[in-house]
Amino acid sequence: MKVYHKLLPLATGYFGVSSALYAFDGLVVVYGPAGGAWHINIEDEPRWYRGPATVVGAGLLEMDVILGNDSKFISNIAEVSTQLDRRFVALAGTPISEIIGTDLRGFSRTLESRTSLPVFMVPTAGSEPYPEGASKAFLALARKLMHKPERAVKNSVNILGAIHLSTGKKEHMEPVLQAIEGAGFSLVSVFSVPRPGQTDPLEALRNAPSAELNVVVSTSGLALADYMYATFGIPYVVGMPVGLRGRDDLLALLRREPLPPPSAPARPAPFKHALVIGEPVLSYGLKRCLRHDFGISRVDVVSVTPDAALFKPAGGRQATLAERGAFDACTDGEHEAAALMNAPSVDCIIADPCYEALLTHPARFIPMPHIAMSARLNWDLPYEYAADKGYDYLAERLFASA
Amino acid sequence: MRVDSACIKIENLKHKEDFPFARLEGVGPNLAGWGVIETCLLLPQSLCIMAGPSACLRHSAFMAHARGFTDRFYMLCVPELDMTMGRHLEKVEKGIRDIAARRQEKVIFLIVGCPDYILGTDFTGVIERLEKETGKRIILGAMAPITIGLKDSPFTSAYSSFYGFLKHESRQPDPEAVNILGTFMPLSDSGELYQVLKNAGLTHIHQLPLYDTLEQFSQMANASSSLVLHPLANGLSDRMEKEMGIPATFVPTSYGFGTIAQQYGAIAASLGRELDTAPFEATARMAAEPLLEKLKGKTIAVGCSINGSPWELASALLDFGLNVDTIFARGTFKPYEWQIIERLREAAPHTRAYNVSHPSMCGETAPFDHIDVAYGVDAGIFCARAANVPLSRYQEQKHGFENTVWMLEQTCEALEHPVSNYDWIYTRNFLI
Repeated sequence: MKVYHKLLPLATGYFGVSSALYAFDGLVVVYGPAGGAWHINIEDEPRWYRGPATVVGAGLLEMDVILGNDSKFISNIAEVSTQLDRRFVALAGTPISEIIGTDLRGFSRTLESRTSLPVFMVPTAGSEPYPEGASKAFLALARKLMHKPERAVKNSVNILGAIHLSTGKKEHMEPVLQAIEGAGFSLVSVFSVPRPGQTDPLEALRNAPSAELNVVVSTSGLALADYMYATFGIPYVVGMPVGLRGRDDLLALLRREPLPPPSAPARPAPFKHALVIGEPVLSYGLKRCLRHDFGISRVDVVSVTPDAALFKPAGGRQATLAERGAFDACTDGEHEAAALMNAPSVDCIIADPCYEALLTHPARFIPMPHIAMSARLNWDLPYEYAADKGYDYLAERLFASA
Repeated sequence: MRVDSACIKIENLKHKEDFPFARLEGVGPNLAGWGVIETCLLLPQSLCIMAGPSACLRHSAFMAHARGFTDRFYMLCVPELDMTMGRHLEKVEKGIRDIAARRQEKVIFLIVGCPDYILGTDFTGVIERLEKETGKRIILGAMAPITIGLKDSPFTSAYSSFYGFLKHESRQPDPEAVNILGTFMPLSDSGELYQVLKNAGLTHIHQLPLYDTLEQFSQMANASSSLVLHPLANGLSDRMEKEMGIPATFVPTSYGFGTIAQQYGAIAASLGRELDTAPFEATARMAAEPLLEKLKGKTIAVGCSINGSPWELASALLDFGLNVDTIFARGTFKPYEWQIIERLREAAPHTRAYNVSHPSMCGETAPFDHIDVAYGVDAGIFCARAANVPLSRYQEQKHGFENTVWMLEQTCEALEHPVSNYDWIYTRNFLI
């Protein structure tokens, strides 16, 4: 059993569903008591502020749980989704729907026939890691809306896994998107960052199967990448291009060129042992940047969500910009994180600012908000990780006087 | 307009059922204040340990972080499957035992969520063993929104549980002692209510947020009377009245001079003493005059995240001759509010009331662009062009005529130096 005191428990499954689907103009119904959807919006989805109804709660009460009242809720969802002109309906499970065994799949079929909207359920409960919920949501959406394209668009890519719980505000991903477009590739779709000029956010999603390559920037995009390879034959690469080396390596992979050989670090930093805590793909991207751009000899990663899929061989995967080391760990435990952070040799830590409360010995702490941890608490904090901007941000903090 | 489905004119609001029903929880910004954790931790020398699925715990963790309660708050993550199989009891027991061993606090609130409530998990044995082993009081509570409307709210239940620390106290009734219940931010001892009570010879004024120890808190058992400033405390005051003989007077935070005068009358009757409030009223009326001048001609909206009742504030503003155009409310009416709504039906029948939880309200700002002043951060979300006056219980707690003046001063300050609604919510944390 995990015990938290100074940290917050990470966002879980239905938070991931919300994060994955938020930008697509659908209605995400959190099928549980009042309060579940409220907290997602108020705390975990700053995009909620003055935005349309996107994540709503079923508002189950005790008698609904005892009596079922399924038809009442089906009618409520049908009425609200049509009144609000949403493009699809997603039903996300909660601890209560899991415990009482609500047939959300049956709900979906009934709702689809009543509303003529695409309706699907995402089997979440309340304790699974948020990437699991996001992955399931992407798969459900893809199965509903993606079709085999007439032809592939040359030199085109999709970005998969750019959900706000992992990658933050959409502005943080811009350096990656600009680097890709600047290198002559076109972006067909970004899951889930709407591209400028898109009036129908689902259009890009429908067109996604026409891309030649997928780039997966968080573990939330891995299952979709595997699905798109199995269904449409689109291969993929995995990695978040952090810093200069990360940017160059990703572009080399897109051009199907070999990665450049190791070179001297752009600017050696005065640290010997760094610890990076966060989402696995971004954290391993940071590790590569600290080693290659800043010459830090030992960089350990603590993945706070499952990282096994990142290192598992998969059919369509062409490359992964992540190298697992002997001291890398995978845990979201507060006690474990504190022990690793306070190891005597650790002199630099990159993590969400919430982790700083666990630090009891002197070390350079570089804030890297993980929205799945601190959500709105650090949403507006200035930080960068991607490509050149990520390099500048890290350089400024690595070389700041203590 | 889409928002029309969430709206009713006051003249048509006669019963709870008349209020527009939200078929799904549209996530109105309307649940500000009084989380179960902060309520529990009002009790001195207490810890709060919450057990449940991570998703449920995360919600409460935000509130604890925002209000700086992290030191006295712990979370035990229990997967749904363990709960369904009843495998979590041993783990929760061990978790509490470990935490108790390294903390000095004398009371531990064990808060469980909807799943344990629905499953009917029996914590009796766990609590008995833990109390025996640790020597600490363990109080079971529920943060279970699934019970909304059917039972006392989790906050009321938590506040009412404090009775357990008073009931065994040997009472030595003190005719000069009075309890003030239902405050989160304490009233200042230089404020109006303290002055009025002290002038009437009530020299021992007890307020929960001021106490550091259970021993200090136990003095409340000696009071001759309780004043209840928030409905949250009605459960506790009822039990103190029925079982300890301490009479209670419900005087919720209000803004209308007439209402406040009536409340002082009720307090005087309850205490059996004359209260000299005239100088305070005269001073307040004089201070209010120039402030009210600045609000003449402004169009006003009142939300339900304010400290107090939106209906009462609307009524007070109308009494001042101001133009209240809109009220944002929830479908949960306090019994005392119906009398105020009845008055509003007469005084301002065309004022519109909106259900802030209605999904049709999400993202709608254009229908409220004509509002100049919006009270409550919930009203501020919809009234994007208005000066936003939070009147949050986390700013200051005042009572009596000075509360009206404070409200008017805050309004003028917001007109002269506006703070954005976004900042009130996301920087100052006034929404949770």
